[in-house]
Amino acid sequence: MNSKAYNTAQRQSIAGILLIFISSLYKLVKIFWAMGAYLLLSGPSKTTLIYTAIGLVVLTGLTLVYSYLYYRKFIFYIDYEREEFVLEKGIFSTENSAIPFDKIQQVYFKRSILQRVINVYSLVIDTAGSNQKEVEIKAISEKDANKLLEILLKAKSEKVEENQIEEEKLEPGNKEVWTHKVDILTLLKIGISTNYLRGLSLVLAFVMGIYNRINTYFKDQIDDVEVYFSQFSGILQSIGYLILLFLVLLLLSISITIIEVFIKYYGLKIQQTKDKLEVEMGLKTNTKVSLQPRRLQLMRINTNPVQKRFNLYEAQISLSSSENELQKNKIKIPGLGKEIVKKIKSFLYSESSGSQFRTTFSPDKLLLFRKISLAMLPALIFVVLWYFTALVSLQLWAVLVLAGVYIVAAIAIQIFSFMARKLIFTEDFLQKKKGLWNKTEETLELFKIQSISVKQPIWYRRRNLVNIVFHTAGGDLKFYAVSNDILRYINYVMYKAEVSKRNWM
Amino acid sequence: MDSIAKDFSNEQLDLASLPKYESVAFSSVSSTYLIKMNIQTGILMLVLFVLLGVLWFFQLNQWQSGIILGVISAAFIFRFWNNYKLLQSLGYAVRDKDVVYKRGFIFNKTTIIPFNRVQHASISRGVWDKVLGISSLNIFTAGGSGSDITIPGLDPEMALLLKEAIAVKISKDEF
Repeated sequence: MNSKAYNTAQRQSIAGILLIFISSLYKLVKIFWAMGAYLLLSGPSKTTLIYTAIGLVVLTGLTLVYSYLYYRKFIFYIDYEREEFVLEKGIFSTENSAIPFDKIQQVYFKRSILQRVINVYSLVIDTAGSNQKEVEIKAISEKDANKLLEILLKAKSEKVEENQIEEEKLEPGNKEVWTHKVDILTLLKIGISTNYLRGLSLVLAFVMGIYNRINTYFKDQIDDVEVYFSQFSGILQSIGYLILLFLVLLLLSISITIIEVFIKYYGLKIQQTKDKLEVEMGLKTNTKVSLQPRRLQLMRINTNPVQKRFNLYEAQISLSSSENELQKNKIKIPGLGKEIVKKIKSFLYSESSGSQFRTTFSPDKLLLFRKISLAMLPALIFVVLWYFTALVSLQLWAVLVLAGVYIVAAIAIQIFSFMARKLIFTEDFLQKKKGLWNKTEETLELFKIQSISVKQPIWYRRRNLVNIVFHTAGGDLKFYAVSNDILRYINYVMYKAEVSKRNWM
Repeated sequence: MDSIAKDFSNEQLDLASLPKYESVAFSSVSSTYLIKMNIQTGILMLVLFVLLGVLWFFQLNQWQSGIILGVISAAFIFRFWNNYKLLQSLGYAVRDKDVVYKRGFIFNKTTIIPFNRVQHASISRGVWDKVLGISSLNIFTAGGSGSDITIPGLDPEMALLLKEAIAVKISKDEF
């Protein structure tokens, strides 16, 4: 058989020139149509029209030449020795990509109307990762497209076979191990306890409203105590209205949240089979996701003191984004009890045994300093606004009290959340903890990293600090301003990733 | 606490014996890349100066244009100086199991990509690259744009060599 087909440089179908030509023309028209319209509307003279026409002809000619050159320079072939697909393209700037067979995620056809008319296909080769990294051959004949697809898919499956077999063997074990259902009461609890922030901002708006109202009375009648007392009942009345309004708004906010939660998570069911975790939820659109430990990249557990009291934890799970389902790669599962979280963890991270060591890193005080300075900014802006403009009309004492309270509160919050920020290395895992009220705990299996970036701005150098970013296929895990003792552990993580023979997705 | 401290010292020995990425010998990129950066900065500067000239002619008085000229000049002197520093800070190293790339003077960033996480590698050449005879090597992972690296200012043969070396490593490191 022609097992070595396409091993020499191939060009696209000759009709590809037409495709390139038309699409470049279309692009040009899209850029210049406004200018053309303007020219026509302005009532051009004959000579301008002639020059324009000549220009257009020349432009079209150049585009044709460009299309031809682009076609000539667009080369692809299969390198059987290296087991990769190679594509070269570009006239002015060239790009040369090589995709190893086993990195190919998907090969498929696409066809636009234009491609349909000139009877060519787009062949798209997808690799894992973001969309820009895919390779597209825009004009290929049906015969070539089919053949190439067949060869690539075959090469890919041959390369990945060993893993595939292993997987399929596991498949039949669909026996249910445990099931967890989130009942309506829990959903209600989630609804009440999640969006208290919206409630909080309402409270704030409410207080500001009262303050303004009092203020307007005070401003005019600060000296006139008599009048003030006579007006007092009026204020009380309006405050009463405000409270009523506030309560209604709060109730509305909570019920909206509850409705949201119900629509999103109604009938939430988690079922563990031997090799999968099936998650099902949703009232209107029923979402069903199956989690395999292999696909897991990053797990985040969120809670806050209120939810903790209700024994409610939320798990956010990032999966590797293959198979083009870019949106579906992050799943939020709320309303989990502590035991369930534990069960999920022990399933997803089954192979980990106890750790030999556990090292905790905290950020440097520099980060605290920076965060506090940033937090002071609003206070500064507020004071400046008050001092220089008429936007904020308050007494001096009020400003001082407000600013003082804000500064103390902000510093306290920053200090406490700074203390809560931790990065923990164990033998197989990396864990980042943060949050004062909303506690977040991110877990990453060390060998699942894609790469690591170590950043050091110039002002960190003297203090020997670094920012660390762990890149995974399901998002990044960042930790800022940490002492460079951590580099030893970075080397350890690299080592873990490099010796691992396990599949990361 | 005692036992933790014991474990800790145990593991420190172990960790210290691991190869250190921070002490590898970095290869620097071709100094032609500095020319490329300077050409690009120069073009931008020229455009801004022309723009300023036009503005000066139509809109601004001596003082205003003088100040703007000063600011732009200072910014570009900084840019040229930064280009120079950037070139010095650029470095890459290919180890047995990974590739290390560092760049940036003011914001230094070092990225380490293990070969068994590389999706694919490609070579790209812009117009100026062609004129100056250099290439860029792009290495892609599945970790998003922050995770990918582009090593600029390589000799074309070197870039090809590296790309092929990486391609071999990728396929060899697979099961």
